[in-house]
Amino acid sequence: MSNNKKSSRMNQNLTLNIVLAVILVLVDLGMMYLMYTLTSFSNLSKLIFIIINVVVLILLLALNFLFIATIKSRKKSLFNTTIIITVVLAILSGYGTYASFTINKNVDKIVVTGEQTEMVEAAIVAKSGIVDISDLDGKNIGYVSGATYADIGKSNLDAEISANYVEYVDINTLFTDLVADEVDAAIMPSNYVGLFEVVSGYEEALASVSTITSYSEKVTVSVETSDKDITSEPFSILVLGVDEGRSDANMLVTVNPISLTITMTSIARDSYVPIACYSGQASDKLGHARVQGIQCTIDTIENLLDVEIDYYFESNFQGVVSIVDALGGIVINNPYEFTGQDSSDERGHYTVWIPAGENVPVNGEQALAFARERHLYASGDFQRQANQQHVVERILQKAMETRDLNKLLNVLDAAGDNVTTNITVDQFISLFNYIIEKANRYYDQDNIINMFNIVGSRVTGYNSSVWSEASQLAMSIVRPYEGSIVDNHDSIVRNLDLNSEIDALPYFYWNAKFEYIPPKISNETYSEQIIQAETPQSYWCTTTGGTWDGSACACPAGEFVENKGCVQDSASNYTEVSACQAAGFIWDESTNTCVTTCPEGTTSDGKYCRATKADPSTYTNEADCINNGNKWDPTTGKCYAQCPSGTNDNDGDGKCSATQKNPSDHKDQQSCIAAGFKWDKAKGTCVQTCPSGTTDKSGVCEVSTTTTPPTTSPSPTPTTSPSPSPSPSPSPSPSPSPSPSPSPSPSPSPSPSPSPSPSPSQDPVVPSPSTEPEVPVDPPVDPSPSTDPGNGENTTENGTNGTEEVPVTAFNNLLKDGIFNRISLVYKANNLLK
Amino acid sequence: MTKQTKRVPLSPEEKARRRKAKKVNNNITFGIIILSVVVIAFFIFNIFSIGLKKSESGSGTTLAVDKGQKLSNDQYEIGNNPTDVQKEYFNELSNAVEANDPEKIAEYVVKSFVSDYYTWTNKDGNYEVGGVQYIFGTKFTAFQEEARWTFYSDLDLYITQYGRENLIEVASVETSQLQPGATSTINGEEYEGYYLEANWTYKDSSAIDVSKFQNRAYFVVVNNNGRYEITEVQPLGNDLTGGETANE
Repeated sequence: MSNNKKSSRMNQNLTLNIVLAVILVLVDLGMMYLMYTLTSFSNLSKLIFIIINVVVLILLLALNFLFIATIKSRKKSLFNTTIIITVVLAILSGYGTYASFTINKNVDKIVVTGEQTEMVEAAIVAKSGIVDISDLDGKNIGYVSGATYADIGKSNLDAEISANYVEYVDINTLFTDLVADEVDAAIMPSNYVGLFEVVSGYEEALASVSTITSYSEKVTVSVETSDKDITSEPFSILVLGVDEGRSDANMLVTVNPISLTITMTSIARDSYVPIACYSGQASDKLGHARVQGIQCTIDTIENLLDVEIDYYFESNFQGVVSIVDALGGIVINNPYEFTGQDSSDERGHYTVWIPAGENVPVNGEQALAFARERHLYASGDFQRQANQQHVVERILQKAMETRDLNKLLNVLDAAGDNVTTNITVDQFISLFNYIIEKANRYYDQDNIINMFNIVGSRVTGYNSSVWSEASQLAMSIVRPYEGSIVDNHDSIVRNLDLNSEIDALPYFYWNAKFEYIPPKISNETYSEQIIQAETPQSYWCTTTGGTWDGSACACPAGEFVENKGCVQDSASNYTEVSACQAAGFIWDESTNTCVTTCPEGTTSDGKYCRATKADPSTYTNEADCINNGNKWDPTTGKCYAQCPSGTNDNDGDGKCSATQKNPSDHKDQQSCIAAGFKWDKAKGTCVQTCPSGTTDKSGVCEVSTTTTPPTTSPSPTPTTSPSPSPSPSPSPSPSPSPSPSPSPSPSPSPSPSPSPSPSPSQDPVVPSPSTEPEVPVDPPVDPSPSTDPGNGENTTENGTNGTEEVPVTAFNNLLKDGIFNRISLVYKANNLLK
Repeated sequence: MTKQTKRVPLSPEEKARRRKAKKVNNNITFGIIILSVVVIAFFIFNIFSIGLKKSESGSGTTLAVDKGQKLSNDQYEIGNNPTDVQKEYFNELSNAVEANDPEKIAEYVVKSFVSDYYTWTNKDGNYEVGGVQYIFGTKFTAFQEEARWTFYSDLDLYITQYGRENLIEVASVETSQLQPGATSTINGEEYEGYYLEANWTYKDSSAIDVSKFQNRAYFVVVNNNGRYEITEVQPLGNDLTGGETANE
C-alpha cells in the first residue's frame, strides 16, 4: 500500500475516532443522567434498580473498552461492532432520558407541596352605564371580606380612585345586590361568570353586568399537607373536579390500609354550607369556596363533616377529555342514549351523542358528557355523582391495562397540565409497594381489585333556594340533612379511627341462595325541620314560562309544581305510586291519585300526601288527645305529638309515664323503640337487641327477605322511565323518617345481614323419608317461621324483589392482564363536572 | 522469486502526521479511561444512594406468606399461614379426597372452613376472609363481601387494639349429625350434599373473651361438579344473645 493511501486511511480513522469518542462521551453522560433521574423512583424496588445500575455500568464499561481496543487494533469488524453498540445505547439513552424527563416534568407539575405562587385575578364588575374606573370615583364598591382577589382589587383601585367599600360576607349576596343596584360595582373573581351561569334564572342578571377592568397579581399560597405514614395509618383525600373556578365535584375519599376499606362520600356542589374562609363563616354554595383557594374548600368540608383532610387531588374538565383520548377511549355502562354537552366554555352545546348499552366505547368528549349529565335522571345531581365514579373507575381500569409506554407518557402529559395533588411521589410509591404485598395474599388473583371494600355514599339534602328580595333573584341550593352529615361523618370516622368502638357481632351466618345488600350509610331523607325557601311562587312561575295572576300560575303546557315552576309532564299521567314519585309528583293517599300539590287537609312529605294532624296543643282533654294519635302527659295535663323527654308511652295506651329501663317493661312497639330498645316482631316482645336471624329495621327486628345485589355506588339510580328528560325529584318537603328510633345513624357494621333463615320444612336439611337417619336429626332453629319467605330462591336469586334497580358495582372487571395487573386504586380523579 | 514490496521512506510531513495521529489516539484512549473511571465512581455512588435511601413513608407491614406451608390437593388449597390445626384438617381432607369418600370430604371441608374462617391470628386484614376456598364456587365473592360487612368488619380494630396474636384461633372442631340428602337450589340448579353440625373451641386469649364468639353452627355442603362446597352456615339454637361484642 502506498504511503499516501495509508496516510488517507489514517486520517479517516482519526476523524472517525474523534467523532465516535464524542458520541461515546454523550452516551455515557446520557446514561448517567438517566440513572440519576430514575433514582427518585427506586423505592418501587431497590433490588431491581440496583441490578439495572450494575447492568448499565457493565455495558458502558464494555463499550468504552471496546472502543479503546478498536483504536489500538484498527480492525474494521471491531470498529463496526463498536458503532452498533454505541448507536443502540445512544437510542436507549435518548429515549430513556426523554421519558424520564417527561415523567419528572409532569410529576413536578402534578405534585404540589408546601408553598407555591399562583396568579389571582380580580374583576371590577359593574352594570351598564359605568364604562371606566374613573366613573366609580366616590361610588360604593362591594367586596367579599377575606377574599384574596378582593384585596388585590381594592389595593389597585385605591391607586386610581377614591371609593366607598361595602363589605359582604358571601359572593352571591354581593352579586345580587350589584344587580339590584345596592352597590355601584363589585370586586369579583375574574371567573365570576362561571360561578353564576349554572344558576337557573341568573342569565338576565349576568347579562346586565360586565367587567370594566381586571387586575392580577402573583400570590404565594400554601396548602397544608400531611406527613402521615399512609401504609399504616388511615388517611383521607379530598377529590375535586373544578370548572370555571367552581368545584363541581366534591368527594371525600378515606382509605384504611389495614381493612382496605375505601369510603367515598360525595357532596353536592350546590350544598349550602358555612364557608370556612368567609367572614363569620357565612353560608354559600360549596362549589363557590374553591374560588377562594383550595384550602378554603378543604377547610369548609373539614368543618362540614368534622373530619381532618390529609390530602387533595384536583382536576379539571379538560383533564378528563385529554386523559381519555390519550388512553384511546374507555368503555362505560350507559342505560339511556342521549345527547350531552361538549367541553367548550359555552353552555348549551349539546352536540355529543352517547349511545346506550353495556361496555359502550366512548371518547373523551363522550365520557365527559356522560359524567356531566343530570337532567336525564329523576335524582339529578345525585345520579350524576354515581356516573362520575363510574367514569373514573373505567379511566383507571384502562390506564392499568395499557402496556404502551408512549400512551402512558401521553396520559402523564395530559394529567400534568390538568391535575394537581399534594401527595408526594415517595408516599405514592410506598403505598403502591404496600398494596402489591397485600395483593400477593389475596385469594382471588383474577380479581385483585375485589380486595378493596369500596363504600360509596353521599350527603343527602333537599332542594331549596336563597331569595334576594332586592334583586328578585332566587339561587337554587341544596340544604344538607343534618342526619346525613352525621351518618357520613360516623362512617368516615369509623374508617379513619383505628381506636373506634368494636361493635361487630361475634357470629356469622350465610346462605348461598341469598344476595347480600350492604347497609346504606345515609338515608335519602331525614325527619328534620325544613327551612322553607322564601322564594315566592310567582318567581318559579314566571321564570319557567308561566303567567302569574297574583295567586296562581297558568302554565302554557304541563302543570305548575310548587318551588319548581311549570313542568311539561302532568301528574294525571301517572296511576302508579312509584312511577308518580319517580316523575317528581306526589301520591295522594286520600284519593289514591298522583298530584302536584297536596289537597287541603293533607300534608306532603315529598312523596305522599297524608292527612294533616291538628296541633296536639289544641287538645285539652286526654280522650281527644289520644284518640287523635297524640300522647297525653298526666303530669302536665298537656297533649304532645310525642311524650316529653324522660317519659314514654310505656304501656301503649297513649299516656306518658317515666321511661322504663328494662326492655320487658315496654309492652308496645312504639314505647319500646322510643326507649332505645328493639321490638321483636315475631315474638311481640321488647328486647335489648335483635336476636339472631333477624334484622334491625328502624328498631323492629324482622326476618329480612331483601335480595338486591350489593351496591358500592351511591344509592341513587337512574329512573326507569324511558323519557329522555323526566322531572328531577323535587323533594321540597322531605318525608319524615319512618323510624321513631333515636338512632338514625346506620353504621357500616350494623345488625346482621338480611339473610333469611328458611323454615325447616323449606330448607332441605331434613333427610328424605327414604333415608332413615341413624341418629335423630334436629332441624335448624328458625327464629321467625311466621315470616318465612317461602321459597327463598324466588325472591332472591334474581337479585331483586321488584324494588330498586341497582347501579353498576364499582371495579367489576377492573384489572385484567394489565401491565400493572396487581395494582389497586386508591385515588380517584373525580374530575367530572357540572 | 517473490516480488517484494518496496518500502517507500516516509516524508517528514507524513511522519509528523502519523505522530500527531498517534498522539490524538493516545489522548482519546486516555480520555476514555478517565471517563470510565468517572462512570464507575458515579454508579457506585448511585447504587449506594439507592441502597441507603429511606422512604418517607411505608412502615406498614404485611404478613409474609410462608410458601413452604402451602398445602394443596386436587381440589383445595389451604389458606395463607395455616395453623397446625388447619394443616391437620387439611391433610385429612386431602386423604378423603384421595379416597373419594364424600362423607369424609364433607366433614373435613367443614372442619377446614371453620378452622380457617374463625381464626384471626393468621389474617393480615379484613380483606383476607378465611375459608373462601370452601365456599360454593360462584358465590365466594358475595360470601366474602358479606363477611367483610359482618363478622370480619372490625378485624382492623381488633388487630390494632389487641394485637393479632391475641385474637381468636380455632383449637379444635367437632362435627356431628352428618346427614345426606340435603339439597341447595342455586341459580335454578339443584345440588345435593350433606347437612352437618359443628362445634369448635378457641385457644385462650389474654386480651379478648373468646367465649363470646360463635362456637357452633350447622352447615350444608353440596357436590358442585365433583367438588364439595359450603352453601349454608347458620348458627345453632339461641346460644348467641346478639349485640354483644367480644372485646374485654
